[in-house]
Amino acid sequence: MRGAGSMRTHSSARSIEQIVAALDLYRGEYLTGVSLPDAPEFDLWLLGRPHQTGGLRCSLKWHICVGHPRIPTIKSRAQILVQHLSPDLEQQMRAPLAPAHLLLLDHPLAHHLVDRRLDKPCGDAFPVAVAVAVVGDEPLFATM
Amino acid sequence: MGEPLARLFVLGPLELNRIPGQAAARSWATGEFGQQLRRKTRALLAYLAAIHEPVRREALATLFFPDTDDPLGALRWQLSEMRRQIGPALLVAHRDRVQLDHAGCWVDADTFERALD
Repeated sequence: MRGAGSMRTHSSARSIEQIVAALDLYRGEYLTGVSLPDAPEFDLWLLGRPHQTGGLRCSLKWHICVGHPRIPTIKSRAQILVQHLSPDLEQQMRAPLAPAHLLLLDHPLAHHLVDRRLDKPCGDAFPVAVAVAVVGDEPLFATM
Repeated sequence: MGEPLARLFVLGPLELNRIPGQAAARSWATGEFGQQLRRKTRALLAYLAAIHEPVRREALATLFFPDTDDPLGALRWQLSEMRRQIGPALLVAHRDRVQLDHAGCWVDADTFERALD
């Protein structure tokens, strides 16, 4: 695998049903529409909630794309990712995917998945970079 | 542990739904009950849902009523109002601390975070 010396693969103990069910709970930013101008410390606390920025949601997507054994094919992983991908999250995931893109092998769907993010404007950094590789005949996702 | 009395949704607009068949909070309307709550009640409810331990009344008063002459009094009134609206079962109030009864109230954010464990 090209340039994969520092890569490590993951699989989640959670079932894909649990992860997707958790994703489905996300209806928007934490406490949408709630703000207390007369309680600035509360508003600060609210801003700091991880759900507010979609960070946890990104992490759940990461769980999906790092080779969960219940999602055996790259196509099915791609379908789940695309199904739950929203524009704001694409922005958040874009920046770290740039170096990951350099590590990609020649899997056409893998290129498609990453390329569709690279044409988006740069957003906040995602905590882990995700790359797609192919080991033997088995496509997998890995983090760097 | 028995079934929760209610489901609280905070990922998006706040919603609070009574679980059918449970006796608590009979006055709740069905559906988007949370949207009927006052703004500060919603905020306080969500805050207590996020903190999984008793919170000191002084801390809550400072957080939610910083410019009030009597922050503890304002908090007391707010908690009373909340108890009246959501029912007494979900709020556990001690002399100097308050907490949401997490056994009685399922919270979407908790399930969301557990999926990451």
